[in-house]
Amino acid sequence: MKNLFVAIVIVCILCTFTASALKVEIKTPSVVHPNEKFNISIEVDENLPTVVGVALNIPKGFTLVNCSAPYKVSGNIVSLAVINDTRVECTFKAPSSEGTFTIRGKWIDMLNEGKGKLEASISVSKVTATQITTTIVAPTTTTVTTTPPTTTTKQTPGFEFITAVLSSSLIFLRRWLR
Amino acid sequence: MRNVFIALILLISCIGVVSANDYMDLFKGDNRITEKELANVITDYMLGNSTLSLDEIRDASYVYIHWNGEPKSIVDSANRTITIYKPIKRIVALHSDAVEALVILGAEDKVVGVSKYTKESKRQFPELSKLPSIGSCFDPDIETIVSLNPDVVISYVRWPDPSKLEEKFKLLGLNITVIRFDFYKGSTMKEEMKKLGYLLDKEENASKYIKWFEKYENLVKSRTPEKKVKVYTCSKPLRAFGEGSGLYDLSVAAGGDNVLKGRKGYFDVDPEQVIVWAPDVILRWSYAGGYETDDISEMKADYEEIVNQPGFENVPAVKNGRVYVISGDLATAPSFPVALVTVAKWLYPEVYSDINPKEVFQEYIDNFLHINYNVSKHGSFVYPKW
Repeated sequence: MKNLFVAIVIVCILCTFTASALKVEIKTPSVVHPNEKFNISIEVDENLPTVVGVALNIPKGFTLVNCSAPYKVSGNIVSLAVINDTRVECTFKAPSSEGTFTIRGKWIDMLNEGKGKLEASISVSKVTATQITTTIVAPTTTTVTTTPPTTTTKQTPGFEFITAVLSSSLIFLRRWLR
Repeated sequence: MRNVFIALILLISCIGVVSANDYMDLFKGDNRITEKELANVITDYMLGNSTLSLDEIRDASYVYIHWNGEPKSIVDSANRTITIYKPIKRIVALHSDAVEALVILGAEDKVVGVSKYTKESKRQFPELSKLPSIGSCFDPDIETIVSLNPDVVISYVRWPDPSKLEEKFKLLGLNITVIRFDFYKGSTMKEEMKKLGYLLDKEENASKYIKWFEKYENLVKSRTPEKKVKVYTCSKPLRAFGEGSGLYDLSVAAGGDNVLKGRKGYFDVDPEQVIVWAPDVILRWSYAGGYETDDISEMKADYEEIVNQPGFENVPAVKNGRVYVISGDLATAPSFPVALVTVAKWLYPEVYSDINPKEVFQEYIDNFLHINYNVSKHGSFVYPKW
């Protein structure tokens, strides 16, 4: 039992230290008009150099117009190569029909071991958009943090849970070893 | 069983060749990876259409970012051009001197296989001695090497014969790069360290070592008197270590006038010839001693074998008590500068009265080998003792 507990603590420590430092975010407008052209940006939050591969699953009805980085399209998937860049913008054309759509994707750090998922919601509506919503998914997690309008999203690297478990574990371990 | 193994290796190597060829396509034409080519393989991979693996794309990204997209080339000590197209991740070191060099460079995490001699060096290489053995550096076990899947094998320049290494890899269709570096000769040490540091992206550590090396090299150069003492270098009393051997290099670098000048390699000599040469100092290289034993008796026996050699009683070195035995672990290894000041002090004791070779050795161990080893308490490296 004691060994198991120690093992859990060690695993928590290892998790903390092996998590990728790279953060990749997708930013979209919250609302766009039908048939409107709009930009989606992919932001890489790390000092250069960086090499990141991105794949985005684009909902039906959306059309890719162009990207500021090298890209390829296959079916409804757009792939991008972000090389020595911290921000890439892609221009899309919204569908003619209204609705709320989700763009899902993944990224892979090509210089290190990191990878993660991307997710963002976008509404197509005839109502005029007034705010920009930022959606961020932390590396290797699927947690989505959506900001309320006019506020900035707090970046969530995903360490809080591990830190909490680690701290609690150390307290329990200390008491137990007394 | 052996045939099955060879068949398996051939099969695996065929698969490897197909994959490697795709990776190598990135270098076709201009011999470098361009941003366009890298973007192309990344976007293909993200769409699930790539023939390259994620590891290969990461290698390509590394080469593009850190090597400006170009392969790295050096000329090894066997005078062959070695070109690598991706970062070296797995190394089999056929000899302990290469292992020591890899530790100095801070690349020990890349070592996946060592010789049976390194396996015995538990004090000097506490972690690396636990790695799988590939047998002897003179006759390595090819099957074990292949099973370790190395990118690179480092061997001595003379040993093993290419028929026991490169030619076997070729026969099996394996794309394993063999780099021949000695890391036991003072004359080639800096160049070898610089080149290996370059290949492994460890230039900073290589520079640190070379700077330290040059500190003692220049010290000895600046202090060598014009009138040099005559030195005879050997292993057994009548087994001479001539030009090209590590010990010969050491004796000359330390300021000695070696009586074997003009005679290359390792060879037997007549006792009468040594008497005629009348060396002032006899320097014996010993297999005994080193990091792993505190027992000096074997080195003492080596010493006594020389002083008791019939006819040698009239040789000035024996007559004047100037016979010295030095362990191969110290003399012919990257610790060369320590051996240099040790031998220089034996040759010209009055000139080096302010130098304590043991302190230089401890400096080397602390700064480059990073092991908890007190040279005042452990090991047996020279006889008579320091």
